[in-house]
Amino acid sequence: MNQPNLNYIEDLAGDDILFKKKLILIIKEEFPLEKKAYLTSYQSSNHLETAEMVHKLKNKISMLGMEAGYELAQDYEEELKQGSHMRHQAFAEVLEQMTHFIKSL
Amino acid sequence: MNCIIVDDQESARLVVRQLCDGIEDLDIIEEFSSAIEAIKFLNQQTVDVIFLDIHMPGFTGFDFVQTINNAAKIVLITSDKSKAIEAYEYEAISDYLVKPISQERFNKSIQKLKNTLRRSPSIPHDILSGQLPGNDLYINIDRRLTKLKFDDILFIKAKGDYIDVKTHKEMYVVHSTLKKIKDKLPDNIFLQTHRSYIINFTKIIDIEDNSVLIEKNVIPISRSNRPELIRRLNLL
Amino acid sequence: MKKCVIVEDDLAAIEVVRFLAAQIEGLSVVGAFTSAQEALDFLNIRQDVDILFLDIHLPEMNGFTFLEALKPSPKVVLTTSDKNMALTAYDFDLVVDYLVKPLQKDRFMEAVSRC
Repeated sequence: MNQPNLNYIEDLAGDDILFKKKLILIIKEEFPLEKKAYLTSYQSSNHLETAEMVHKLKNKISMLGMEAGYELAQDYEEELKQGSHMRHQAFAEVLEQMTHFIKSL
Repeated sequence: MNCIIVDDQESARLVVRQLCDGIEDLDIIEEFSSAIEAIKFLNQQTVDVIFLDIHMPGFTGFDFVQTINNAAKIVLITSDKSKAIEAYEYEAISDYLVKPISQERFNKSIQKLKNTLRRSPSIPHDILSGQLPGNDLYINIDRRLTKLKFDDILFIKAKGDYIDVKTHKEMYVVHSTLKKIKDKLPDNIFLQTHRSYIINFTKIIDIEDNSVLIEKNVIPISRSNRPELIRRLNLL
Repeated sequence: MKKCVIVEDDLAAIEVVRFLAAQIEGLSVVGAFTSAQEALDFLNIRQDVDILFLDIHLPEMNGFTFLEALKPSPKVVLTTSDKNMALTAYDFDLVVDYLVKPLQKDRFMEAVSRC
């Protein structure tokens, strides 16, 4: 599954619309900040710090059901800890997909 | 604490024996090189702790954990670092030790076991007597987790993808299978009498050839389950 | 009534745990923190917490460091996206379960039933 989707959240929420709305609202608030923090960190080339940012974003990636994106984030996090950031482009694309999807919610 | 060692390699069993040596209240009562032999033994006898290797020919440690229906705590011993996350899925697994095991780490494991056993005392070795630890069953109804005491459950009936759990006052419909719930039920109170029924043995009022009476409910007994039922009755 | 505390690194994660906990009869959330330090302060004052839902990766400190600083400790259910920490988790006595995110309902309930 590559595309962001609400399957996990809807499955978890069941009939509880309030929970679903609340969670989506929180994601809408938090994600842009986390994305920005990642991009800023990436610019600074502080790889260890950037790995932290990627780790944090993994939560949201998994909540939005993006399995391939998750695998990528795992690998990218490892890569950053080893001192390189080649997967940035691919990761940035994942973030873009999420941005569009979250905006549409 | 009584324990057994299950590992196909003699050198590994020797190491565990050595680690156990000198620890107070820890008695190794048997060693097994085959999982099947260990299971046979565990059907006859209860132990407190099982030291178990994950990788054995033809039988993984996790298969073993699922097969035995025993209150024993299990300490996994292995060279494989990668299975720890799977080990957490089994409440019976108390610890996960990666070889080579230091005495210090082993001692810590034993201490953890002692603490756990102290918190919930182990099943008396005599299967007839006493209360079991963990007298409750948690079931998921309408997305709420409800606690039922084992003692309140009369019987459980399979109904397609669901099971009916009958207590004195209620009938709970739960999305589960008989097989899944059977794993959570203590052996000495519950008995499967039929493909679709598990009964609380202590609630039997009357017995016929092919059925038992529990409160006002007639529960069938299948031919293949009769011998076990009789055996249990003789023990009462 | 069992009391639990949630320590997670973002609000969305707290929300999910809160939601799952709300579905369990007899379990109430008495505190939720994104700051490890605040959580420590809270838990050191309140000794009546039964369960701690703890993320391993917290901004200020590692969850295991947190556990070492927390004595006495309630029973702990670790929640994390990291599959590699289970082995380390076994070193901690009071960790009763290790849940990988995204959290699944039945696995969550299994964890609570261990406490």
